[in-house]
Amino acid sequence: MEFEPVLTRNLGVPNIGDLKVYQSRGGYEALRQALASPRNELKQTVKDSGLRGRGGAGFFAGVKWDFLPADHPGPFYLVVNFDESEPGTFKDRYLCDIDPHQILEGVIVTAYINRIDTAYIFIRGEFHHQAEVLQRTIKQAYKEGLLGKNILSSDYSLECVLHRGAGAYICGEETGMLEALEGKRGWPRLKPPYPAVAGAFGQPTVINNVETLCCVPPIIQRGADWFKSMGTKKSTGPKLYGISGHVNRPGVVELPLGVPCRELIEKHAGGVRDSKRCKGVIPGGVSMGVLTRDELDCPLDFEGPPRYGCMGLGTAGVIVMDEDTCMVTALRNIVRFFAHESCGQCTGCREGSGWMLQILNRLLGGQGRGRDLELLLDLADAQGMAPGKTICGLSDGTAWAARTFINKYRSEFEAKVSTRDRVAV
Amino acid sequence: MAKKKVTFTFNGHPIEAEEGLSVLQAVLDAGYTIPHYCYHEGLSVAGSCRLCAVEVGHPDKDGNLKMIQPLVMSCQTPVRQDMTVRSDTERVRDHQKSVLELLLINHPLDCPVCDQAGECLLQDYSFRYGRSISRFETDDKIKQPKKDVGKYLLLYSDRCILCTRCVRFTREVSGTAELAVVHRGNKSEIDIFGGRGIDNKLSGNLADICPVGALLAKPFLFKQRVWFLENTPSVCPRCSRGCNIYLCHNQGVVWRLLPRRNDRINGQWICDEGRFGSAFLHADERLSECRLRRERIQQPASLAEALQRVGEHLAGGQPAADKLAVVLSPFACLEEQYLLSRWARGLSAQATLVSGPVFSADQDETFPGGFVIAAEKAPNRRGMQRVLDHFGGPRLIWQQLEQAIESGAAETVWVQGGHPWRHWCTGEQLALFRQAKFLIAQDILDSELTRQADVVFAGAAWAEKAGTFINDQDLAQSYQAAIEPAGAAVDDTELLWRLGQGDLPFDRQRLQAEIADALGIKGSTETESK
Repeated sequence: MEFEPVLTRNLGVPNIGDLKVYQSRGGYEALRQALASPRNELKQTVKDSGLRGRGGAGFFAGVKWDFLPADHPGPFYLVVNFDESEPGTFKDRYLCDIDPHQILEGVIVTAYINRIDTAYIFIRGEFHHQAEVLQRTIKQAYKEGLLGKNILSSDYSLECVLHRGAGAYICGEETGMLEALEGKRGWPRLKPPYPAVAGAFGQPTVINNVETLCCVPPIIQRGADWFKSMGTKKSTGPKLYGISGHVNRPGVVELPLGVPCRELIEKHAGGVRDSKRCKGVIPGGVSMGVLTRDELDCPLDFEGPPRYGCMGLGTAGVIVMDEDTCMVTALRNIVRFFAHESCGQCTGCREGSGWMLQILNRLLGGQGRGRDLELLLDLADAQGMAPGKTICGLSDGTAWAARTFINKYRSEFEAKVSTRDRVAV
Repeated sequence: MAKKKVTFTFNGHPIEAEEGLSVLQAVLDAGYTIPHYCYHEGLSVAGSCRLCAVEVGHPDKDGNLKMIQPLVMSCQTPVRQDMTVRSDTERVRDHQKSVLELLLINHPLDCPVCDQAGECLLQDYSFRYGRSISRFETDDKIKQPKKDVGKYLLLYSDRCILCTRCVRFTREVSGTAELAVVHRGNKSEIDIFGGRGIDNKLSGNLADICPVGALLAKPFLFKQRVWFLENTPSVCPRCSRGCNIYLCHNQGVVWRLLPRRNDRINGQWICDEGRFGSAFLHADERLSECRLRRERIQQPASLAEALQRVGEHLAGGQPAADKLAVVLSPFACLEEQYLLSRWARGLSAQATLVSGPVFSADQDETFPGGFVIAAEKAPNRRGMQRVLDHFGGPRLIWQQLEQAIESGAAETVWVQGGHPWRHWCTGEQLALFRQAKFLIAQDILDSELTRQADVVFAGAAWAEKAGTFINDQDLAQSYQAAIEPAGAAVDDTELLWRLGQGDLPFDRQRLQAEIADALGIKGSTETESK
């Protein structure tokens, strides 16, 4: 059966950013339908659909909404994570480029389901153009009664605020984002309390990724079973894959979850450029680790990459590296990114990532020492939220990248240890 | 309402603690330790140094212990009934080693020239929990210059381990928020905003809470190695709050003051005025011996001679004693105030007791963290009041003394001083004392007042003598002498004892019991501390 695009259904429609055009394509019908339905039924539909967060962690969206305290008098907030900053990831920006009203409809429907009073769209600072587009879109929506008091003459009201980030990767971490939204330094918060209990401005808050929200209106309109008909059993629905690196046709494609990595590269990205061989693939943003060319059968869903030693699917921002790529340099670039973006709060990440960068630099400079690889792996183990060594997951990225690159391309790293020291090993 | 108690075990030791308390605090309260940097009981929880990690577990429904997989930070984990906490596992120890190694890579290791050495948690923890070698080897450390960040403070950024205690202190306790973290990652450092220095009355505490040698107090810089210092518990005399302090001294010199915790009074803090206001102890102007006026010229004298002169002067009997006025000092301890009053009243029921001057700000100053600097800039105004109330009889306030001298009602005036500044008497008051027939000054600093006195008793400053202050909450707090009095000066309580009791041996305990009984001071006069 041919896959019918969901999130990219309006791709190429002229003037789709105009409300009238979007509405002529069935836009905001899901919102009308939602406003006429009981909230718990809508939430149940989303839960039944198995929709998982598209921001990286893959947590079930409906379950996350359930964490909001039912007896809280409000206000409730929705914070939309549009701080897309993971290297290799450009799907949310693409969504905004091809169909901005789709994002807003997802925001309003999700807000309605969760009795949200105000939705904050936190957009990455560097997305100047997209911020302007969204601001226009929001303004239009207010004008047409899709936002503000009594949306579409219902008794539901919602305010929507676009907030531009100041340019820090860490503000994509949900509690770092809340701090930044509140005007503070973007330092991730200690949890508990979780945002669902005490989030933005101390109030219960739902935080969802842009792509996740875009999935909600189609689910409301077409039902959970339709959504589940796409993808795999545990990873349902369509997914945007962003492909970059050494391929012939980089870009964003929408496919059902679970597409094998090889198929994505060969069929949807035109294969590795210049007829070269693939050396490795980063499945979902640089924090997830790396797949070797022997692991390209890995299905790109939430379960696939962990089976191959990666942290997860992440953002499905796939980076392809050809046979000429130096994996030591690749890892150095990744670690340089994380060392630069470390907020500096936790000792392991602040000091560890900087130290790792120093070691990788000396390896590349031919000054590598005998114990450097062990030291790198040790330093990778000294950080990360999963083992409880840091507050947030930023440094899990450093750790997984380092671990998978070194373990999977060990000989390449060993070759960088200076000959004098190599004898000593 | 008392909170529910729960019992948990720490490395096998059972500990009982209030529900909701953090594991770290409960463990510390029970007398055990878990290394930690960013956690400070007086501040909010940051959870960022990651040193206080422990392994925890809970019994499952069958009662079997189930350990949680990730390490948890004991500072942010509340205690629960039947919880198992372990800091003695290999995983925790490895983690501690790793955190300490990481903190040291950009630390200058300049302990030999760092004031914090000896009381540095980076030193102590590295020794106790760290690796003995660093794998960082000879690589370039990040160097950051020393910064002048305020009137009393220097910031050695490259020694900083970014625990952010100081940042939280200025936001939560002083409420002034002068500090922030700037830059990111391992380039992060603490800084002030746009050159605007730390300007709050509690700034000295920042040097205390800094676990390393990053924030240091300028007045103490390079003065002493801390292991030479002896810490004597005392009470601060600079306002009527009576903050509990330590006097840190070596070889007869008080080098610095530190807060001593008392949750009823000062918590864990003291103000800068108290902390940095003890220079008068060792001022050149200290009176180091008694003086007598002989043929219009003041000459040094022994204590016995000075006492004898006072006795001779008042030997005239009742008429002379009736015209005796004694000025009590709010800086004197209860014992001195009491003995002087008792002596005067012993000579004559008509002798006048005068309450000495109390300098006062408009109102108490309360900080966001609850710390209070009292308006009254003297430690024992309440004690003075209690003594005056107890003895009753003729009594004047300081401002009324003028008239009494002018009218001849007060001919002999004993002025008790002890103020921490020299010229606490105004020019007008000095002119007035000139009219008194016989002026006795009991003070610590040489001044116009002591120079015009007929008899000068060189007293001891509060750090040099034992005593009791009653603070603005009516708490009586006793303190001990830390150092010897300057020169031939004597403990004022003993001096006044000899004045009244002659050769009867000095018995402080008996005296304190008598005062407690007379003034109705309930309970112990010992200082309270947590």
